[in-house]
Amino acid sequence: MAESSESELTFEKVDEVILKTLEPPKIGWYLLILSTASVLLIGAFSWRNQILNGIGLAGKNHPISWAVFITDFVFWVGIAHSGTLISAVLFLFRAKWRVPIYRLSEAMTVFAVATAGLFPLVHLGRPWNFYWLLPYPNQRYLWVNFRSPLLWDVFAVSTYLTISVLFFITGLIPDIAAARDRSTGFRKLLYSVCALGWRGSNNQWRHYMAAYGFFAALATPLVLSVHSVVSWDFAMSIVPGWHTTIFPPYFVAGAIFSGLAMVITISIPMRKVFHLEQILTLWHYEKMAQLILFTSGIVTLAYGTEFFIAWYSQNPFEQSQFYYRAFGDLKWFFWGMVFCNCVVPLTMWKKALRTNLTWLFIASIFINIGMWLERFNIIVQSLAHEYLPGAWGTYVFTWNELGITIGSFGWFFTLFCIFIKFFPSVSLTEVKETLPIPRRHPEGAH
Amino acid sequence: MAERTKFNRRDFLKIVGATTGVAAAGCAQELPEKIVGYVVQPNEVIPGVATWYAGSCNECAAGCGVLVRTREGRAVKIEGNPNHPVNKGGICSLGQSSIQSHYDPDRVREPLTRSLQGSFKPAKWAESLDAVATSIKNCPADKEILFLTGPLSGSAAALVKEFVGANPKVTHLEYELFNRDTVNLAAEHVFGSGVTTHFDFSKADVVASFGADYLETWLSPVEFSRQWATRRKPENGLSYTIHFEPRLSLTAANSDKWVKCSPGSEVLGLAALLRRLVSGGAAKNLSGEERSRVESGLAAVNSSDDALYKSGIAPRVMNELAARLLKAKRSLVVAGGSSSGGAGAIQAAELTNLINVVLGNVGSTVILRETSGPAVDSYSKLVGYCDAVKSGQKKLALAIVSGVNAGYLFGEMSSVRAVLGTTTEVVAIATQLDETAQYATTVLPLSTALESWGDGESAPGVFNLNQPSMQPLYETQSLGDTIIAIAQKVGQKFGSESEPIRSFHDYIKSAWKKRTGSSDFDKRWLEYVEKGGDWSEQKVSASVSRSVAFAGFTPVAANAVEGLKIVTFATGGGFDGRGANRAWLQEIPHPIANAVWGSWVEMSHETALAHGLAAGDVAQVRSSFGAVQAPVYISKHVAPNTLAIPLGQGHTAYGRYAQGVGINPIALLDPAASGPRAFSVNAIAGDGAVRAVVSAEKLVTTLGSDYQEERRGIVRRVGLSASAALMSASHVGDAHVPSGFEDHAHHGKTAATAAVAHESAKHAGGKHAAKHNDPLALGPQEMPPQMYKQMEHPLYHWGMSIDLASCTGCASCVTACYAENNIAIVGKDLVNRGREMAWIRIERYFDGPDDQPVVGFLPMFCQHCANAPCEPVCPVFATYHNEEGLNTMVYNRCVGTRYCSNNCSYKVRRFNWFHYKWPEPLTWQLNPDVTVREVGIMEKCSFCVQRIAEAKNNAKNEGRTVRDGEIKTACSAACPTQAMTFGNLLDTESQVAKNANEWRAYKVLDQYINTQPAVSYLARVTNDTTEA
Repeated sequence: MAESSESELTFEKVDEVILKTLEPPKIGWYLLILSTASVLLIGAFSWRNQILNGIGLAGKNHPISWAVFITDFVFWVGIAHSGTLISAVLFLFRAKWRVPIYRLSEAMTVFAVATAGLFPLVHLGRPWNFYWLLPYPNQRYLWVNFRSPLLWDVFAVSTYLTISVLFFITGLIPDIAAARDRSTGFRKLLYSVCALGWRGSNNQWRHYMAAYGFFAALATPLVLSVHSVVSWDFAMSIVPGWHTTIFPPYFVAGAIFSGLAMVITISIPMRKVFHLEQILTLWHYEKMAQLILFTSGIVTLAYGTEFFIAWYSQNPFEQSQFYYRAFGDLKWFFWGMVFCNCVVPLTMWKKALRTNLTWLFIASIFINIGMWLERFNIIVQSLAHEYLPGAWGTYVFTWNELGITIGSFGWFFTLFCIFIKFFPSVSLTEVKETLPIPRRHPEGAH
Repeated sequence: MAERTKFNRRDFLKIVGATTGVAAAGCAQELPEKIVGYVVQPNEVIPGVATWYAGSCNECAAGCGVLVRTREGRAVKIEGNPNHPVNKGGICSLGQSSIQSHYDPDRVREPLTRSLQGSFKPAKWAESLDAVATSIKNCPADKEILFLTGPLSGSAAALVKEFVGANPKVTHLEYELFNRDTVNLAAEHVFGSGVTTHFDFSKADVVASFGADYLETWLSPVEFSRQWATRRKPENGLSYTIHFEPRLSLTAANSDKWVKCSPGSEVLGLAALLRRLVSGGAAKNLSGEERSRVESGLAAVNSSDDALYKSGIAPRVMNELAARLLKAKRSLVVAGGSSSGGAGAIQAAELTNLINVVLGNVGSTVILRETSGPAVDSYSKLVGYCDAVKSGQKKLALAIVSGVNAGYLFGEMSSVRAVLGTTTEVVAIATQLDETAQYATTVLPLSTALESWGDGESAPGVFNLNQPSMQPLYETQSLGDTIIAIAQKVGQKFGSESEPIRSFHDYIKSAWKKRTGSSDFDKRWLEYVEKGGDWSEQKVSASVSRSVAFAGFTPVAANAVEGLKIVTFATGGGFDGRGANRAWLQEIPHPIANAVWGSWVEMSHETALAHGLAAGDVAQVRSSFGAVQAPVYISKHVAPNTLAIPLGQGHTAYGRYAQGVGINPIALLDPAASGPRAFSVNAIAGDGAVRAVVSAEKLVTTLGSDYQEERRGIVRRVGLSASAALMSASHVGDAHVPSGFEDHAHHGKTAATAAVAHESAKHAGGKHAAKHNDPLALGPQEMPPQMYKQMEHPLYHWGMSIDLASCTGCASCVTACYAENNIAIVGKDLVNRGREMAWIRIERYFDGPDDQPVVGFLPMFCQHCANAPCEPVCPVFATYHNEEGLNTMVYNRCVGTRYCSNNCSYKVRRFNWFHYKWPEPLTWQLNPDVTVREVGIMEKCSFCVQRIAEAKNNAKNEGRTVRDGEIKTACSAACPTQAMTFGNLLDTESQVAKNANEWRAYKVLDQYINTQPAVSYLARVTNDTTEA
């Protein structure tokens, strides 16, 4: 192997580069996790305040009963989606470019769902009674209401979390085994347990590939169903601006859009820090940029359709609602969204920009913000401007809810930091699959 | 295996038991407060069953009858007495909220004396009374004693008279801000001494009011509202009402025509009207002498059209009004309110009397009632007295003040305040430590009306009797008892040997015995107490006959009305300041400005612009006498160059809810102005009198929009001209009315509106008139085909109907709901953040042109939809539809997802964002039948389910179903105009079912979103007849 040129990837090189990320952390990592954990603590403290004093510490009001927390919920569920898209759907379609990023995006899925799952609890008036949302047998014959989209949400999100965690763990097994083989001490113990006795035998590989395929097949419909169900939280209601059949595809496209942006946001610094340039190449980023451009087109079309239908239906409430979106007192949230989600991605038409990682990073941040604003607009603006003008309202943010929102990023990135230091964040197995099978070198033979 | 398990089953159970035990003990909830039963249960108290006591309301001079609901010895609610001839069950917000004053946490609980350091310290009753009695006895020969009270009637008046008679050093003066003086004086001037005027709005075909806000604050608003409402239904013959006032008051908003005249111009308007009536031949029926008196009077005032035009009243308006009045069989012209302030007040009232004489209204709509004494100008009398003291002509040894907050009602520069400040000994007999008590050296705690006996005469032959409905909360006494105690200590004797009078109760009883005769008195007395009075010989609408004794107008001081003018006005909530200590009244939005917890300066856009003010600014208003600052309310409905400021706020004392809220515009008024200051005063502000100042204060309002926007059809009205056709065509679905938005031109969307009106007209006229598709149709509609099986209601389907024709928007229902359902008060800051808890809100919409707004009031509360959008979305079934048609709310089950509120199209659900608490003893007011909600759960109107349950229990005990009218929700019981009806929609004979099938009925939003509400609204009928 000594003969292999530096630029060419070999099995050896892949192991070396990727497992290097697992080396004992340096000061930089400690500083990073310290900062993310502090942000997490801000969120935890804010939530504590909210539990002690009441949900009134958030800016919600009458008529806007859902606001930042549900926005956060949908945002994080959306982030999760592209992870599954990349890991499962693209796996089934055998899209090669997914290989180096799928592990990252899958981890993102798991952590994003774990973050999203907190928000329904955060937003409850009496979070200590959250288990009443679960259909558990009890002597008082109290049952849940299966007609409520919120209940569907409970099932959708818990199913999603279960499947994506299993899928994630399954994919990790061979890589953990590889890490196990190269580590000592505590890590050796950790990886030995997590590798579940993986020896890399033919039989294990055969089962593994089958299981991976099944999980991919199981996870694929979830990409569509989970966000469709989330969108039904809105679409099944009769709130003007919510009650529309366009929501499921619109939400799914938006989820993939935002998820891809988040993958870019996370992977570009990681690539830099861990020197993964050879594995995560510009070609991969260009593919993601193209998909972003495509999904941006879908969401832009969806925004336009909403306005068109409002006009075309001649429904006074819909018309008033969409007039308010664009020209009401929260109009800057709307125009901010249009700028971030419709205008910024247009730069991806230009090859020079979509292959410029600095610009991609900046654009991905814009898209993340834009997608958060999209959910905020749908939720808050619709509620602010419903049927009875006398009950219209507007929204004012509070520090406490922003603290919880920021804290959710702290929670997400803390989990991520821990993950990248303990598990291979790029799939050894699949990267190797893309390489030519190494021939035994004559000189190397003994 | 056996060796490997070191843990056997017993150990496992032990450990599990111990850990769960520890966990459970550690997490145990606080134990609830102990409930101790009666050891010996009083006969009249059945735990869980309410006892009602009849009484009378003491809040204003109207004298409505009330019923006080008590539970286990505590008063919990005040309602109108349905048998009382004045209010007939209706009650205003002020009356209902007096219970909060009763339970005010800042009440005076024991006698107080001023210590040397200047703070109050507790004292003993006996000592305090001795001290007062000694001061009276030892009053030096050159000094006097002032006894200042609010207006007294009945036995209290007699007692004070007796007390003053025995103590010649004592001068008794009465004062109230919103008094009857103007009306009394004007009646005396026109009809001779010994009579005053009262009014009957139910008989008038045309009502013209010059400033008198008879629906909210003027004289007897509950009574007048009820009378007015009877003539707002087309079947009773719709009256035509016109109102002249510089700003949009509740009466202006409910009138067919509102004339935005400039302040003080009412006199000009009345004079011009009288001239037109006389020249129109109206005075023909008068005797020659009467006619000459009227004509000579007319000659003495300026009735020129020129002056009229300058004051903002188009002469054409007066021509038209005169024609209407001349044509009408019976009419009524009244003046008061804004016109009773300032110099022309009495003259305006005199002019209305003359007009009513000319029109022949005396005896029908204007009732002459005999009075006990001559009319007085109590303001001038009090100020004159205090001026004399101030200038040293009189010397005061002692001032006793009760029932009038003189420290608040008079400005700092007024001689009244000066006298209170300089008199060495001031005794306040008070319930609260108000501004007047701040001057006191001794405070004697006063019982509220709920704790004391009282009586009075609210109309000829209507004698009210007020009994205590609970034991005094603290060491307090009624005013009568205190006077008797002082008088006895001074040496005065009451009663006879055989019938000694030891208390005010004895005093009242002996007075009633004297009046009604002694035969069988004890039995009758019980009846009086039970009924709340004696109106067996009522002469409410009986008028004595008098001829015109008019001898010329009260001269009007020159009143230069140039530049900015300040108009102070009364609100039903703040009233003369006495309502400010009641959190309900602070939190319930003002009907027009929609503001809570504070004051505002109302001005037109032009005025604001001219003084550099914009919405959201805080304005400082300065007159020669003082300055105040309050948020600006820019309104299209104020006369130009006018600043309108509500009275009743700006307390510097008077308890935690009153203190520091808003401003007191009395500070701006001329303390030396003469004439009876009844409602409002025009002061003239100089240049730079209004300017923006930096302040964080905000005007907090609750409504999201002033306009109902096109096509929504939320508050509907139908013109009288269209109603006849509609009434005759009142089969199902035949009635189509464009909802009165034609003239609605906001946001330039009239084109769309017109298109819709056209579209719906096509629907109504087309051969396949799909009735349920027409969102603006009136009358009962066929139910559209439903996708799901509808809920069945086997026995009852509770519903309500709201007659918008008689709803004035007074918000009495809102107060009733707060009181009945333990609704939390959240304070100004949280209301600003949209977290008020009201289960009913009054949506107020302005439509039509700005100078002639068509104001719509819509009481909005849970519609108990048959297809309720809130029900399917609750994941835990905390809200569901029951088989009586109620959309029920299970507080215990609610986890607080708030999805129901989002999906409620009517936005009537309220969420407990925090845990709201009442300070003791306001908790005593809480209705024990209604759960007090905790943080994190949703609540909303329950149709007073506790009252339904009570009625159903009673019916079940008697083996029958609930009768129509047996259940009255809190809101419908309180409504002064009985606009709200509750009942069983399945019973076709019930009033609510009949209303729901009326041609005017509609359901809000139903035709758009198929919610099938159980609440029907009856469209308002407007008098759109143009011919005079």
